[in-house]
Amino acid sequence: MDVEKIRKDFPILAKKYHGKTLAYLDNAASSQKPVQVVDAVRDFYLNSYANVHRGSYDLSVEATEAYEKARKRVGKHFGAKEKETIFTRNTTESLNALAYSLSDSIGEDDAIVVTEMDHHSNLVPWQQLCLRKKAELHFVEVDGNGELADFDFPSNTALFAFPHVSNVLGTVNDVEKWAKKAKKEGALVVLDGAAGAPHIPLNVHRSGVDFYAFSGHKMLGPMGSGVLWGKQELLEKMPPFLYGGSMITNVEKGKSEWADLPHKFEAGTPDAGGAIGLAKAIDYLESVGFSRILEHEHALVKKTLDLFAEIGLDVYGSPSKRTGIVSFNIRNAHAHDIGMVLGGDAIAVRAGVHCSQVLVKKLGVPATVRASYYLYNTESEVERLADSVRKAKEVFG
Amino acid sequence: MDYKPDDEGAANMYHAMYKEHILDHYRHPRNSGTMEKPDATARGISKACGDFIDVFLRIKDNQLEDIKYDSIGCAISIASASILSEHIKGKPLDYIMKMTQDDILKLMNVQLSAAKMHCTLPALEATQGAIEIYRKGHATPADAGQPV
Repeated sequence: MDVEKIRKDFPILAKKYHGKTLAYLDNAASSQKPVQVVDAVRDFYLNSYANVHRGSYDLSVEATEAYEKARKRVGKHFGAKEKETIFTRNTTESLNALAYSLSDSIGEDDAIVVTEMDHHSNLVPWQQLCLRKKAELHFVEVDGNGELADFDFPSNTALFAFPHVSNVLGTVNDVEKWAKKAKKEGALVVLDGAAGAPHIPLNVHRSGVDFYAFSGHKMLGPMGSGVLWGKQELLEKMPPFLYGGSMITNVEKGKSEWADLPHKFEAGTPDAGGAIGLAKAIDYLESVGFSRILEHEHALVKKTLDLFAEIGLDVYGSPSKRTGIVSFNIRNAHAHDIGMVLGGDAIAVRAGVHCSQVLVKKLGVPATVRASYYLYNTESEVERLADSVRKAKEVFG
Repeated sequence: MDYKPDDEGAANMYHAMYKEHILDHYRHPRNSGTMEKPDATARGISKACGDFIDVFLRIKDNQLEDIKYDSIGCAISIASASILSEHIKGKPLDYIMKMTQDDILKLMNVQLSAAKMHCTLPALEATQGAIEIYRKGHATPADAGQPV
């Protein structure tokens, strides 16, 4: 994998702050975009743009074709049919829509199971649903290595929601194993792919899950592009979560009928440019190769852990399978202060609770600093990170 | 040690705010701790990051006789609490209630980045909140706006 060549596709990486080149290590929050993706969006707006699924004229047909081609391309990446591939704004919207649409099938005798490592977007919608329906909410705990601990699903488990990858620790969960376990109790299985999809391709049908959600912006795609996938037979039975244009076939004064999948779940004018950009992002990632990217991330993580061990930092989690995420702290220093010092050295990391307060509370700290790598990061950026952390330790540690 | 960015001359507000006097307050926060049976107490929370500060006040004759605080926060938030506590100890409650974020920034005498501005607020808000609670519990008819 030629990282220097890849970096040329991301002009933003040459930006300088305070006389230093940007080291963008905040990929778990959002990734940067290659020119190929921006050009694809630009081309749509400049050459093929009209509203989709409406016009009788050539340009609208062209726009519709571009949008539906993007759906096919994105769906193919994770083994989904077009009917099952619903475009949303992001993972959060996908999961909220799901919790809303499934709310009638959850009652007070049911239990929903989530995990301590879920992002708020895969916790709060289910927690609030449980509160509304007086259903039980259970948590699979996180063990000392930062992995999911053994868990016996209650027999009334109606739904199990878990992340493919922890956005704080980088832990990769065994999707098939957990889906199988929850399925034994007859649960619907929801997988949050926000932190996983950018690094590990999933085949939804082999995975054993019923629903899968991910965001385009974390995997080189535009902000505002996201996906909700569901098994066709389930989606067909579920009510829409947004009403309006594009999602109906027949509307009368007293009743309406819904369009076929996936349009039933795509009310209103979609972010077609976002979908087209996401399709291009997947082209880009596949051409580089997901396994090569993950291997590269592992090399960067190894170097980080070696350097951090020399410095003497608190590093959280040592999962057996991980993506390019390292969460850490300097003992007695606040994560935000470390983040500010790194920011001053043009090193972009995230300091905070990473929308995962349950997990960070379990770690026993108010916040952590998180460095998260992707295909364009380099060993020299890791060295700069370590140098800057060393300085921060002298000041705050 | 004071913080020195290693690229000479580069204007760097990230580093400029960690001045020696700020770091001194952070490392040795004045009036830090808790208090047995305070006259008033309140928690200030930074909505942006979830950090918090508990303040404990001893009040006598409408003056702040003593202040303690217990905080989880960054260097800026701890320094702001420390500097504020030194400044308001012994001052009339009315004076403290009129203080604003600008007053704290002047006391801190440091240029903060936009992202760190909110860190200076919880200490003042908690102090003023505690005074409000105290006043409600000690309202004279005149204070409460009742006809005498």
